[in-house]
Amino acid sequence: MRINPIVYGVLVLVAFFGIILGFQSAGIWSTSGKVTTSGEAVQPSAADVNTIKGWMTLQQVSETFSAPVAEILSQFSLPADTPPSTAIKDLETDLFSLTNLRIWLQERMQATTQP
Amino acid sequence: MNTNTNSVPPTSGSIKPRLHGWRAWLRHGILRRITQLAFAWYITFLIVQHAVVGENGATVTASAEAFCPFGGLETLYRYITGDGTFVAHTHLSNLVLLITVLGVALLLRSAFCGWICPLGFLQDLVANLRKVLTRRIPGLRRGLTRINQSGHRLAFLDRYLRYVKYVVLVWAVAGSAYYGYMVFRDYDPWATLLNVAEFSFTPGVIVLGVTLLASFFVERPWCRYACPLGAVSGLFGKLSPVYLKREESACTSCAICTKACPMGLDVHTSTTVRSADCITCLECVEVCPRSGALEVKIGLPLIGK
Repeated sequence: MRINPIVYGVLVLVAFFGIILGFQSAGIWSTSGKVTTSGEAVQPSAADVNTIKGWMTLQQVSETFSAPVAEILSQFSLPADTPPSTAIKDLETDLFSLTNLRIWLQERMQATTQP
Repeated sequence: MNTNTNSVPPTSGSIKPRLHGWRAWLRHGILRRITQLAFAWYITFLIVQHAVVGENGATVTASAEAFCPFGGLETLYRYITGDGTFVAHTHLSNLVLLITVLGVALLLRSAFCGWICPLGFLQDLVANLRKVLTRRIPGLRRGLTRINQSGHRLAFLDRYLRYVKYVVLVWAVAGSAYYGYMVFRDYDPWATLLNVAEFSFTPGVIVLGVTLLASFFVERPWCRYACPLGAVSGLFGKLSPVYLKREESACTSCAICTKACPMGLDVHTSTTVRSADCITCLECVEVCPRSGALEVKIGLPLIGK
C-alpha cells in the first residue's frame, strides 16, 4: 500500500508527539532532578546520604543532616565566608566533592548514633 | 491546447506534472524543513532559557540535555538496576524520548533522523550552503569537483566507516552502564552544542568542528559514520513495515535519487530501500521525475511486500 509523502510526514509528527503526550498524561515525565513527577521539590533525606545532589545548597544539607555549615566548611578546608546558599557542585575542589561529602556525613551519622 | 496539467492523473512512468501556485509549496520537503526548523528553534530556546535563568531561579528550567533521546539509552541500565535513579544530566524525559524515537522507528523507520534531529538539520544546512556557494562561485565548484575526484580512491572506506557508529553505540552504552556516568558526553558534538554557554573546551568541540567542516564535503557525516542514536534507530527501523519501493518499469535509472540521497545510498540500483542507514527524508521521492517510479510503501516488516 502506498503512502503519500506528506501523509508520512504528518504520521511522523503524530506518532512522535502522541507517544510523548501519552507518557505525560500518565504522569511519566520529568525534565529536572529538582522536582518530582508531581512537581514537588526534591529534598535530601536524613536517612540516606545518597539523596544529596550536586545542585543542593550547603544550607539544605546542613539542616537535613544537622551538620553546621561552619563544620562542613572547616572539615573540607573551604573558605569560612562561603554563603550557605552556595550549591555543592559550585564548591568542588581537590579535597571537596559530592562523594567526599556523602562519605563524611555517613561516618558522622554513624559516630553520632554509636553509644 | 489543454494546459491544465492537474486534471489528468499521471500514468506510471510518465514525467511528474510541474506544480504551480500554492500547490508548488505543498511538498513534503517543505513540511520536513519546517519541522526541522521548529525543533531546532525549540532546542535553541531551551539552551538560552537555561543559560539566562540558570539553575537557581524561581522557576526550574529544564536543561536541553533533558530532551536528548540518547541520554535515555545511556541511563537505561542505571534506571533498571538502580531503583529508578539516573546517571548525571539525565532525567525521566530522556527515557520517554528514547522510547518515543524507537517507537517511531518501529512504526515509520528512522524518521527522527530525517525529520526532527537538530544536529542532522545543522549538517543539512552546511550541505545546502555548499550547494548555494558552488552555484555562485565557479572556482569553488571546480575546486570541490577536483577534491571529489581525488577522493574517489577513498570511496571504498565509506562502506566500512559506516560500522563505526555501532562501535560508538556499544562504547557509550556499555561505558555508562559500567562507570555510572556518560563516558560519551565529553565527545558528543550534540552535548557540546547544548552546553555552548558553558564555554568549556572538551573533545566534543573538536568533534563538532570536524563534523561541520566535513558536512561541506560529505552530506550528514555524523549520521553516516558516528551517530549512536542513528545506529540504534536504524536497527529498530529495519523492523518497520514502511519502506521505499522503486518500480523498475517506471524508473529510467537517471540516478537523480541517488545523487539527492544525503546518506549516500544507491537508491536507483535498489528494488526496495530498507537500509538501516535510510533516514526516510524522502528527498529521493521528491526529486524523482517519474510518477510511480519511487514510492513510500507499507508492507510486511523485513520482507517488504
